Amino acid sequence: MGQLNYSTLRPFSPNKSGLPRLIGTGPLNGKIEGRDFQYQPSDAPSLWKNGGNLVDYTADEMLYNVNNLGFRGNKIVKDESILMSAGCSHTYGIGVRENEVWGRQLADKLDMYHINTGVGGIGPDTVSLLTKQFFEEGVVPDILAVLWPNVSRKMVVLDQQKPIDDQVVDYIIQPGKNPVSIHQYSVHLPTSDTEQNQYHYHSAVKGIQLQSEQQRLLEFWVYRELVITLCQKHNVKLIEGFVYDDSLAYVKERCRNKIPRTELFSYPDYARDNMHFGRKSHKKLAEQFKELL
Amino acid sequence: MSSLRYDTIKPFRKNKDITPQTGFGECMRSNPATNKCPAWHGLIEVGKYYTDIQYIPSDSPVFPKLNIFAQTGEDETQNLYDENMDQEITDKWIDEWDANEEQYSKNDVLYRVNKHGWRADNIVKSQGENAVMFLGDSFTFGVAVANDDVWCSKVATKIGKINWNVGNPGGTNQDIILLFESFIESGYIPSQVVVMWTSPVRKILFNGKKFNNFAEKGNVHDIDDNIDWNDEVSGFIADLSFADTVSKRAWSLMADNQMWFDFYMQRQSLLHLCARLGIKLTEMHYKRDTSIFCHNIDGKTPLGKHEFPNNRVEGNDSLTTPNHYGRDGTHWGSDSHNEAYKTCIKLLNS
Repeated sequence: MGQLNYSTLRPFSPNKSGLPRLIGTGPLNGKIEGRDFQYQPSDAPSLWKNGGNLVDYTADEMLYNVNNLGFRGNKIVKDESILMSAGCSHTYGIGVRENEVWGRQLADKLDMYHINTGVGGIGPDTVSLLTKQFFEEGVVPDILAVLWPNVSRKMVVLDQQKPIDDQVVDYIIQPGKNPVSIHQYSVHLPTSDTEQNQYHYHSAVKGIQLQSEQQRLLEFWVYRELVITLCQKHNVKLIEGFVYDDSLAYVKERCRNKIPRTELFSYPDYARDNMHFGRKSHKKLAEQFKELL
Repeated sequence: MSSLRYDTIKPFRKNKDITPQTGFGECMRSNPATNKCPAWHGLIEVGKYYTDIQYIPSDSPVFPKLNIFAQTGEDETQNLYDENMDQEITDKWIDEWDANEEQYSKNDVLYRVNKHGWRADNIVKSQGENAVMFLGDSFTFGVAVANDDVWCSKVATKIGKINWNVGNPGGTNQDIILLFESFIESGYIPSQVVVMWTSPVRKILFNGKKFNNFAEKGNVHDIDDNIDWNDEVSGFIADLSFADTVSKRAWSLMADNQMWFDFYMQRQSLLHLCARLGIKLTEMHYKRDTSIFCHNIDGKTPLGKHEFPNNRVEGNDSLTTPNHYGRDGTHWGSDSHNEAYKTCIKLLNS
């Protein structure tokens, strides 16, 4: 699921500094030319829903271009007027062209430099950690636009090779040197048989499956508060988008921080994979974010 | 478990004008029936600004009874909630209580709390500049020792600051964060903060079935602010043998793997919030594992096999003096509180 290289993400990274990276390309990426490639997991012919959206896109299109760290779009810089977009695959822009991605469109509208930290498959916990690490490394935008992923997604600490107790003790004694195995798990999404087998034995996964929605929302609260605090500390303008009604309802009802927010619950169209937002949805989202500013 | 009134903190409370409090606060002052059985709290004397209480649940004749009932299957639990419990039974339980009376007696009224149920001076917004806030659990609250023996009280006196001890017996690390955020949101801004982290195996859980995955999905749950306030939300120490709800079972299954990540995130929240507000933060530990975790995760020089970070209080397991346990025989006694006090002063001066 997750395409983040967790061994580059603090606190799991053995390094005390440095930016996070995404994992490299593989067979699912189709044709690869330098940092351009054809497909992404979920936007690959074998995974397309109903044969994919081949009206707005062609199967041959090299939709994706990534920077040296593997994030989509522009290279990471520090000295521009930056709009940073954060979130999951909807933010990465699975199944749409680079100039159609909502973050890129928003940055263009604002005449700002776009940094896209969206990563497919991640949850609010990883969004929070990524944001923290970028800020710690001095990549501090003027505006941070977060499109919050589903709260049912969670990082799970797994390691098949060791008993759980050993794994945790190793982690406590020498974090980084004995990295734990991190997986992104989503309660609501189907997983492949291989993944099911891998997860099946883990009490942690069973625990996550049993967690109530309310419990997950409370954890989301912690991750979101950290992002809010980081933005306040670094004087970054924070705007938020929601595509899931449970987290939006929770924030509406509970949060008194008055962070500008927008929502998109119905999509006018779909991307090449027939699952993610299409270009019209991205455009709509960019416009809605712009209105917040 | 946790003594915190969850309906008085973020994200559960209705508005920021509600001051965070424990179950020893307004509800105990206004409703003496809270003292369901005289053996829970013993004598309660409500004054204008403070409440004096003889026992706190884990330092009371009732607490050992709970374990005995659990082990023997005896069913006297109805007595625990009988506000008119026969004085004879109360006296018998008090008599049977194997308290550590080396320093304090069963008769001592050990606890003085402010009107919000904190073992602290009255917390006044305008005094924040002269106040130090202490965050933690029962070791910070000072279960089983007298008011003046609590390490926070000694530290505040030593440095000439007002003591805002908001240690919460049975509290979780997430309680610590939410409590601090709530005080800040309400406008209580201390000049400095000292946190004594608790065990990450404790977690705030929702025990109600209403929002479980397998139950009907409802609206976002509102914590009821009636007398049953603590039924749905509570702290829980992961243990499958005590997991009598789905939420407890869930946490028991995942705690080993997830608790350090949870703790990492909670700690980051506190570090960054204090940094944003310009509040000096001092961290302390009574748990060996949390102290090593924080030391290592911060990238400090690796410790030797038997070394500990200098912000870990050498408590129960390293002192041999007679008073190192408090009245309940479990929590720190005055000597251990003195160690915590000395550790804190060293850290504040370093």
